[in-house]
Amino acid sequence: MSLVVKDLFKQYGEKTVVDHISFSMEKPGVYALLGTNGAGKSTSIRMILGMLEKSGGEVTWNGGPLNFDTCNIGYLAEERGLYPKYTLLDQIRYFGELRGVTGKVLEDRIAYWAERLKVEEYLFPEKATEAEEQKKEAEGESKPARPVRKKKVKPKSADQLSKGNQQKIQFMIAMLSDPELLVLDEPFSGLDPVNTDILKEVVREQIAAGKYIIMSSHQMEVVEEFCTDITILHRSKAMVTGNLNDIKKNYGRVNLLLKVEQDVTDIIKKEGIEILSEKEYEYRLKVTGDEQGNRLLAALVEAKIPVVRFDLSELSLHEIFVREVGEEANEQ
Amino acid sequence: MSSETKQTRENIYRLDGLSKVFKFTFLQTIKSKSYRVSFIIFVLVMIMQKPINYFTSRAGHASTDAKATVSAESIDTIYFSNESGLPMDVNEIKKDLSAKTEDEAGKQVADKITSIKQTADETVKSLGAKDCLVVISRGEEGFAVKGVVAEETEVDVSEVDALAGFFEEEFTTAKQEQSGITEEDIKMLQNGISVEKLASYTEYNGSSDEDVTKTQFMGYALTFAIIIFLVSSMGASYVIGSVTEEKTSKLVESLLVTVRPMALLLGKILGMLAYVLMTLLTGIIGAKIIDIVMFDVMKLEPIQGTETMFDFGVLTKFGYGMTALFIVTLLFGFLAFGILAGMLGSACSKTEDIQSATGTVMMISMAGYLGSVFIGGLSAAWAPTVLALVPPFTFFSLPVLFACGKIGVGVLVGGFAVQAVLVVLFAWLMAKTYRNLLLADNSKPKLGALLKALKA
Repeated sequence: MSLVVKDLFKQYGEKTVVDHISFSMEKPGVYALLGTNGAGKSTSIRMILGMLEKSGGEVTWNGGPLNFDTCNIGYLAEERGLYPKYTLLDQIRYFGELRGVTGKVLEDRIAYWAERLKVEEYLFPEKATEAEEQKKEAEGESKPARPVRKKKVKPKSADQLSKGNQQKIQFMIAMLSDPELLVLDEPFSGLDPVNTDILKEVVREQIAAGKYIIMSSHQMEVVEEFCTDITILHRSKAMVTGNLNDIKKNYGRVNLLLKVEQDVTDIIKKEGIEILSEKEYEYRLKVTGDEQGNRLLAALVEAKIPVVRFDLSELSLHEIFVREVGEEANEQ
Repeated sequence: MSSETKQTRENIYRLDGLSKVFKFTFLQTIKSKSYRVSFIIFVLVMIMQKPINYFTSRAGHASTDAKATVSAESIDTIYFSNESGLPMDVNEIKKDLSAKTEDEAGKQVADKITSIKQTADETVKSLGAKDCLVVISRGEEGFAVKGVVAEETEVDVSEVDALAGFFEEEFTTAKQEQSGITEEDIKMLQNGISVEKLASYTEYNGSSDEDVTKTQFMGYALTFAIIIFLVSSMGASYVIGSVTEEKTSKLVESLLVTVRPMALLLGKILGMLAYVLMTLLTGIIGAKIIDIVMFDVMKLEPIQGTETMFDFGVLTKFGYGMTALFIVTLLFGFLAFGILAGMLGSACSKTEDIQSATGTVMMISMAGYLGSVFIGGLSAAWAPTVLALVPPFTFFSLPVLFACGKIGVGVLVGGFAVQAVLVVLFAWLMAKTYRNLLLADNSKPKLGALLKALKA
């Protein structure tokens, strides 16, 4: 299977909002679409998924057009929403049925994801109440002398949930059809650390299961954790496209973290190296590459200065992003 | 754009998923408390319309009849002076009084009536405490009926009023008889309009010689127009609210990766239509049952004139064939206004825009309603054809025009063709505008926004 996005183009009147973007996913994994606000990420995703008409270009899945007839798609939109007044179960079933999942399979999947995403108490409040009562009994709380009439627990609607829990429900909706292509637009924004970890774990499982995932996010460290390939968009154009490791290699190993036990500022300056910061003989340096870094190390050894830490590394995704977008912004 | 790109363009007109959207919309509508309350109120109004019309009319007739119920317990002698110039036979008056009251009291009153030969002015002077005088006189402004009693009278004044009322009726009848006008003529004059033959209905039904007066036609037309106005308004406000809710709550993005715009909106409209039809059918069946109970079980006498009053039973009045035509028009009307509502709803960016979108649909609907009633009232030969063929009037009047013989089968078919073409055209426009406007954050529910979306 493969996803190919070729020359994707969108214009509103005279304004170009997506300018000939191309990328492909030849094998399962995570492809990251990164960019500043208004760079064209969400518009690109909407065109890829066929919900917005393209002004030009094409999107193919296994050589044919990509749409929800040709591919089982799961989508978590950036701007999330649920019917505020309908019960959660009703709308989850509705979306499940629209995605072709029905009957027992649907009920089983709802139960599985409710447990997995820890939203059972909202979907099945009666079960949650029963479980609570059983727990109280087990803890030794005395039973009332006469049987008490059980209160009917009303099913929950979306407006009774926090934003984070609503987001988990929508993630669940995206997963109901067991999609082969999963598109996650800012999946972790607005989640607390506990729920972020729950979702991250699910994403890891999906990667391991060989799913194709397109992810858009502002959280670079999260993207870096999952993605293999990236496209950085800025002002509707693709600034960088390709495999993340290759991109990093192209920039070279330019970050140097040096920790010593005395002041070595003179030696660093003598080698022509830029000091980014310094705190108690721990230096963050910017070198031009391996050669300049090795020259500094040799100079330190020659001066018989004990080196506690010498860490020469590539640019982080965050730095690549800022460098590409920042430079372009400055040029303009 | 390359031909390669055109090949991969999404087909937004496909209807996969329509049945699921329909089912969800219908079930959620039924589950909604406000729609359940609306259902009960609407059905009750439909069911109670006939008894309310009947009993209010009956109360009117009863009060008219009461005028004839006279008594004279406090009166010894009723003097009658006819100074109108029109001859009136006292014996005939006595007979009428006995016949109308149909009891002993009536005969006793009749026995107390005495015709006088002297003038009323002379009689007034000699009236006793338990006497009264009824005078019919002729003045410059017309005839007058007066009841007169003595200064120190012991007579119950209400009895004199009733007597005066009775004599007024007798005088009116005498006046009509002497003018040569029959009761049939009077009924015709009261209806005001000449009788027309139901040629087209007879052709359709094959067995009817029923006649429909203009008043009856206006009654049916008004009723049908109100029904269409009510259901289209109800549907439009639901569709606009629902589309705007999905758009503003950003649900639409999740929906559009599973169902296409046409199926999404049509599913909604049909779901709401099912609710409206369920309400109408329940109401019609309920009204029919009430009809059977009133006239077959309770054997109540039908009251002439009530058939021209507002009554939901108009949908079944002309037989099953016509009921089907009514329902087809109702479907087309509902679809046309529902789709228009969907288009305007997709242009709403905020919940505040709902009012403006609803207002636009209501305005068009109101124009259709008022236009069909106004043009329907004209006697011009072109009026029925215009109503039958021109939108939006056609949705409000087509089946009634045919049922009342105002148009033939050809115009009826033409009218349905216009309605069908309009619905298909609207659906095509809807799919385009809906897709382009649903993801727009700054659109307004105006015609300009829809046209812009069509070009996009």
